[in-house]
Amino acid sequence: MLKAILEADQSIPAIPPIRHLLRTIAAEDGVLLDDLQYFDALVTSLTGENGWTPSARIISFFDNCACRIARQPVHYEDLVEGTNANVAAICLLPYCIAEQWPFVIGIEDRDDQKEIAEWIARFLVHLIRAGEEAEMIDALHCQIVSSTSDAALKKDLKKAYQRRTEESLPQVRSRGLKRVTRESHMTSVHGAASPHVAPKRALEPQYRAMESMEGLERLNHEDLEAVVGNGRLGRLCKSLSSLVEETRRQGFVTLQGVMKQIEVRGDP
Amino acid sequence: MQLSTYSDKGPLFILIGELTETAKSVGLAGPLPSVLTEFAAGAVDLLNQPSHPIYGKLNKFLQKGPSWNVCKFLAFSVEKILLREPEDDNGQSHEIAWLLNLLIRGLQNDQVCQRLSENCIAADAQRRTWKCTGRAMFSIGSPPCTGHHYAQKPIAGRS
Repeated sequence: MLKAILEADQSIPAIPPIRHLLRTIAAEDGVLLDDLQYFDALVTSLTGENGWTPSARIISFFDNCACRIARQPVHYEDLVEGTNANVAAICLLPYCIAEQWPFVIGIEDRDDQKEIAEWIARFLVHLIRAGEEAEMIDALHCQIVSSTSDAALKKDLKKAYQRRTEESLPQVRSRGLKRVTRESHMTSVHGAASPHVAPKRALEPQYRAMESMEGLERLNHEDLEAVVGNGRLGRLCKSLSSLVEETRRQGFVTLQGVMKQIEVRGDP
Repeated sequence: MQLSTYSDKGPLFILIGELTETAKSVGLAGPLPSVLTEFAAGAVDLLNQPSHPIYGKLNKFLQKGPSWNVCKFLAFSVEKILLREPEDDNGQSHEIAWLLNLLIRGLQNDQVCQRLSENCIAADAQRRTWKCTGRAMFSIGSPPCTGHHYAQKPIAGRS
């Protein structure tokens, strides 16, 4: 769908709702933060300009990363936590890209590697423009470069990133802007509910442990099916968690009596 | 109850027996952890519903031993539900919902949570347990791949 809307005429009325849907899906699956600027950064990085167009390999690489995050978000949150960053306010996609880049080197041919490197540079720079921490993105890019053994490819990676940075971010770098806090814009972060969104359902009042055995000590005289069906046997089990010791002891004895009755019947 | 024709007396006998054995081993001087008694109360109803998605796992659990390990019960339950394949291909959401309801009702106060975290669950296992639980809360209704992938590919470096 993403590829289709990138190639479609943007004046088509259906395009904005589809983009909104894709942005929602990306946020719910934890691929991107639920911030319009992040999704725009992704779309812009995949939009052709100045003779450059995203190849099928680039789309496939992004798809691979997105699927991995959707399947195992905890793994990538662990990677983020390892850098002492705030998991709740960090986009997981760059970390997945850094993790998957060594496989690109091992599998793809030289031209594909160069194209994917170009897209990575574009995406990372657009993320910084969207408000992601420049130092964190720089560190991830250094990690990607250092995992590359091919000197020529390493040079391509550095050149692409440097060129994109100089074109797009001179004003950001020179002013040393810090990342804007995004918590106030977010409606969901990696699928978690924002504190600004009211829960859809109020939770039940917290259960209070029972304090007396009232009504439960006479279970021996009633039909088992009835005491199971009306919940009294379940309440008897919970009596063992009572804060009142006498209730616990009475409940224990009554439970033993229930077992005795079943045993006496002869066919447990 | 001597004259009861209740068909599920056998599993119920085992359930109550294991609960009382657990209480005996822990002692009645203090309350049994509420998560155990909530589990037992829920199991009383479940044993009456053989078609419930978690019926099979419940019976397997009851066959494991004569009493329950108080320290490992919570981590064991979370692992069996979240990190193992569901009994029924379409039952993962029901199993997760059952587990979350157990946690909501069973983890009643800070004392219980603190006791379980200090005495029973190692730091790494607890982090993974609560992360799995957290992801599960938002994966109900999603394709069932989430839990299966945890089972197929454990996170590297975790016990």
